[in-house]
Amino acid sequence: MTGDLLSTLTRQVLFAPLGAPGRTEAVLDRLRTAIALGVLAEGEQLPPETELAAQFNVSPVTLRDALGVLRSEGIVETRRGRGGGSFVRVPDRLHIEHAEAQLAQFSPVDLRDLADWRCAVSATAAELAAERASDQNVETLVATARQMEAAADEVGARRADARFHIELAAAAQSARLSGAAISLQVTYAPLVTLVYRDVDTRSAVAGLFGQIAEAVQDGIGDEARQLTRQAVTATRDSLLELRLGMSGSAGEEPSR
Amino acid sequence: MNDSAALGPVHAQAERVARSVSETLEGIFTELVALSDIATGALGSGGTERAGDALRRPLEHSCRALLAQDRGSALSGAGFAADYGRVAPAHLWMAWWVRRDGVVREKRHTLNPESDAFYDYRHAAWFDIPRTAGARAVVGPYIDSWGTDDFTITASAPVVVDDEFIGVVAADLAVRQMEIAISRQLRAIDAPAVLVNSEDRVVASGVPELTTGLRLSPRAGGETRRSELARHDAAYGWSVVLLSR
Repeated sequence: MTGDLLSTLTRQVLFAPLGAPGRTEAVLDRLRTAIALGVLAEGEQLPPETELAAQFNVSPVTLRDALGVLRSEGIVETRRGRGGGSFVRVPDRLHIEHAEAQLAQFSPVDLRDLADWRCAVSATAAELAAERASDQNVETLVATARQMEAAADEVGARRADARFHIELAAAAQSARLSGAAISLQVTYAPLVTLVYRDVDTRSAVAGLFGQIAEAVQDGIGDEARQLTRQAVTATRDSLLELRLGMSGSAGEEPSR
Repeated sequence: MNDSAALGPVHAQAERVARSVSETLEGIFTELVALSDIATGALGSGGTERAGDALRRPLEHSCRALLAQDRGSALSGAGFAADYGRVAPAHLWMAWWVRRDGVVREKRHTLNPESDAFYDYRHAAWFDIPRTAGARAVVGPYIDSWGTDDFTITASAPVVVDDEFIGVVAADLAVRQMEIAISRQLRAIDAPAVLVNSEDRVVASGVPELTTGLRLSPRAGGETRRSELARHDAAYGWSVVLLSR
């Protein structure tokens, strides 16, 4: 598998350099995110251990430890013999458990900062999209807003949410904003899963997405920007509320 | 000097650029038709259980040859995308090759609908136009989310077996290389000029305020700095537009 030939999301999840190289925890985190986001799907066979270890730049022993933990959690299943190997299992509770673990790694200020960055990317994208979007872009935005409205659960809502932000960046005709929106999806999508358990939040954001699509269609940049900001803020405050209500310590101080 | 008096030789220059662009596009479709024949041949009559295996090898051979060609190397990717269930039972199926840094490799796409990276190409214009209209299409420039994740121009043509739509053969044009080559031709015209696609989106430009991907005029309309003086049609809805100074 060569990193640059996979989708950007896959690349970001599986190939971006590990923050703390060599640690089992870091590898675990990466694999859980890949599985929670469906980059590694239910039933999919994992690459051979040596290949995977090389990808993450960890020793085979570290990788084996990580796989052992995932096996005990029922997320990876190993079959022996011919046609054997490690296969992905996605238990129902994975999305929420993974999201909670991710949220615990952010302190409140980190969450606010992350939302600021998302706002910078998406609100600018929305403003540019109002000027530059094609009719096809607008159609896609409208369809994705509807997808958000129709989402039956938090995972469906999270997918529609990430897609909407990425489509905004595509409508802005910017490869860099698009890349930034996809990177944000890796960090943000698991987190908003928690927020979207609430039906009211889902429908409030779906409503805003519809209005953003309309503002883009009508070419009103200021309005598109403001509404996008509101959509980001809506989930940010719910996330902060959840984080503040959590027991346990904040994540480790990041090394800078 | 008024505009109409100055435009005589300029029209001839613009027409030459339009013709050269058309030739490039037609050349790509010559390759796509050959690729389509290979796909049709490999699929035989009706899909089989092993259609994917039967397709991959001849497609790979042709796409690698197509992308390795160094006659200007106008393409950056090529392959085949099947309609739902046509090659893989109850699934999308795609085989795609790209050239990066001079090396041709297979590119994998996420075709699992349960993935957050799902590439649902059925809604992309390059797939939808050949499917619904049975016609060739040149789409873009657009940002291909979950595909190239970058500026993309895609040429595509339907693959039909026994009057049934199976999928499309398609090729991505090397956008930046094309942008630079065509903008040089546009600059050589003795008037401000841009190349736009069928929806008046800029493919390449000879003026600073209009770059690849922008609309000739913003969504909401309003004032633009230059007015359109004349248009020279190229193939597939593209045209060279001459603008005021």
